Amino acid sequence: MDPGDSSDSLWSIRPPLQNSSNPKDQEPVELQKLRKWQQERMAKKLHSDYEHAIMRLSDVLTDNMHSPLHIASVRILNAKQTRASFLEWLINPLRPAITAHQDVETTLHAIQNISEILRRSDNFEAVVPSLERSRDELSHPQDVDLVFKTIEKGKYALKTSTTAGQGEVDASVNAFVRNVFGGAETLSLHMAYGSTTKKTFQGSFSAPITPDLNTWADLSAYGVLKDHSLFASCSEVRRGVKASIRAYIQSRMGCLESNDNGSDRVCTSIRESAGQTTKSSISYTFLKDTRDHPTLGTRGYSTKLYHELAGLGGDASFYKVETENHLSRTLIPGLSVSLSACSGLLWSLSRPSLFPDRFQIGGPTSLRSFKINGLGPKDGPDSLGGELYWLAGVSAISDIPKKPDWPIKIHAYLNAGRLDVVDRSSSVAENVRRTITKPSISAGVGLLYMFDPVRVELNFGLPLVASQGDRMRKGIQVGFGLEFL
Amino acid sequence: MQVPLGFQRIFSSFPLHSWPSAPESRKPPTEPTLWIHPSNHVDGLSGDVDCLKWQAYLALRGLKNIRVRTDVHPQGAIDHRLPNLHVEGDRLLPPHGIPAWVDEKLGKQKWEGYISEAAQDESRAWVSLLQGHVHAALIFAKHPPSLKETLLEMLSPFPSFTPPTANLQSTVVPMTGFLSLLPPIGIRVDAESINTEYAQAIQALSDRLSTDKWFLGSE
Repeated sequence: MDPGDSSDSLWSIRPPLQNSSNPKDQEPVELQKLRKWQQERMAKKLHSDYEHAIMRLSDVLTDNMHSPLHIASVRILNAKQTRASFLEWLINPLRPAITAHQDVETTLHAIQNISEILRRSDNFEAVVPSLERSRDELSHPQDVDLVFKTIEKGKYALKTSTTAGQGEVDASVNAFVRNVFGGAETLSLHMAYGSTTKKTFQGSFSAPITPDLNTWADLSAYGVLKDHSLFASCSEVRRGVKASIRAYIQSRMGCLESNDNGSDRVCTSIRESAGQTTKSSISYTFLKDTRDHPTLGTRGYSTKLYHELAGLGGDASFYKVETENHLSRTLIPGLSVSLSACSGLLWSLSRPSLFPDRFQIGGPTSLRSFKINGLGPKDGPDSLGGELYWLAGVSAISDIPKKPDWPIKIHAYLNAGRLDVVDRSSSVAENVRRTITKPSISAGVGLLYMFDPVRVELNFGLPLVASQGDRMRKGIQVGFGLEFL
Repeated sequence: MQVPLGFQRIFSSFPLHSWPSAPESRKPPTEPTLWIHPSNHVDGLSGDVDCLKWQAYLALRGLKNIRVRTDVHPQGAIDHRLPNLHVEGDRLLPPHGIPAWVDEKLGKQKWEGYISEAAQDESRAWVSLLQGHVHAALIFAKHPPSLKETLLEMLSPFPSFTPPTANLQSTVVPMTGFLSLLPPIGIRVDAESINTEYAQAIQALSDRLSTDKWFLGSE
């Protein structure tokens, strides 16, 4: 190349062009295999080193579990929005007593319990515990400080969502204030618009009242507008205030308004029930659920018992008791069976029962192959509700053959139930006997899809036995919700 | 989408067995019952102008054994307005359906019971005056809702249960205007002109009735 051609050589392109798309094109296969083997060997070595270190650490801890170790103090770092008095209230019951024997084991338990309670307070995004030598100048060599480095969660949150459940869809907005006064109190405002529950407003304030955070006090005000025109030609507005600590005292202002699109449509019973009513009541709920999944359990059981006594003031006066029970078992891998039994009794005390307090049954999540709230006493086209009911169901759920990991399952069911008013001229036993001996029964098959946490069913079923006046749904029926019979 | 014929045949066989209907706890009334607004008095007369008018109508037409009921909320009435008449066959009649039911019960009376066609025509003119000026004044004279009730009704996101006629009672000045953030509510009515027309109508009726024992000579 001539010195005078330097600029040309700088900018000229000489063929053939070097192919740099895959630098390993010409690399020998054996070299690739060797590289891969070496990487696998290094990963295996790192993993075994890690396991070895863990085993050594656990051996050290196990050998020294009863070595004396004393907790001098507990420090929570970076908890600016949480009151120190609240943290003391939470942590003090979890610290070993001063006079009790303390060792490494009790210290580790204390670390675990305190970390757990801090996480359960829902104030912290991260809790990282550590042990440090005590800073106190008068401390002994066995004294340590438990230090928890925390990252607090944001105080304010706003969420919009669309949810589907129990046969309806709604769009909602939730505003949430966490740790209102620095003691894990929460203030939430909820507003929703839905297909059946047209409007919902709720404001609630919750605060823990025991240091284990198992018991909370709630104070809430709510308003709900429900459209009952599908089964009762009316709509219902409920406004109330609720205070609860497991058992709760509720005061409700409820209004029942008839929907009058034509003078002939609404039955007289619903018209007579229209107007404003009030209720004050005390209720208690017991719930135990051991199922492995709340909507598609394959083992375990759940039981729920609900009592309500109304008549402390207002128009409603009754005693209501209701129970729901579910049992799930796996027969063979891929096939499970679920048994359900529910019943309820509404016993009026000094006044006849009111429409909003009565039971309603029927629908794709209740007694299948019947329309929503389609069973029980009627007046013309409107379901009036009842005071005594029972429901029983058995469902078999199976994986689709050769596709056990699919979320779609095959479903077969047999349901039965009845809804009646209580005949005061007969005894309770006579009322129960009459209700049990005239069941409405349905059966069908279909498909089931888990859209966690909602369960969606597409069934083909038929009513086998029904009462005259029951509104039936023959053929295809779709249901979605959180609780099914 | 129609169900295929084959499925319809299968569906028609179900349910395989039927029980009688679940018994109702409510029994339809045996006598005609007039649903009215309640009153503070024990004489059974309603405190509402419209309800009292129809009570008087039924009495003047000579109907007996009509019961009254005051425990039904206006929200349960047809068009949310009382009175309603609950008759045999579990039928519920709105106010404008009451005259036809009465005619059905009593049969067509000549001149509606008046002594002559002229008396019938004159009475209709007076009735129209009563239903105009006098009726408006009587409704207007009822106690209007308080400012607190008006504001609560305006701010509540749920439907109110105020009877439709309450809108006419708004003598409370709404706090609205061009510079106000609150939407306009209620209806502004001229109280003075209503009262003046009422006084003139009553005076004219009083002069016409004079010493007649029954309304315009009806039997």
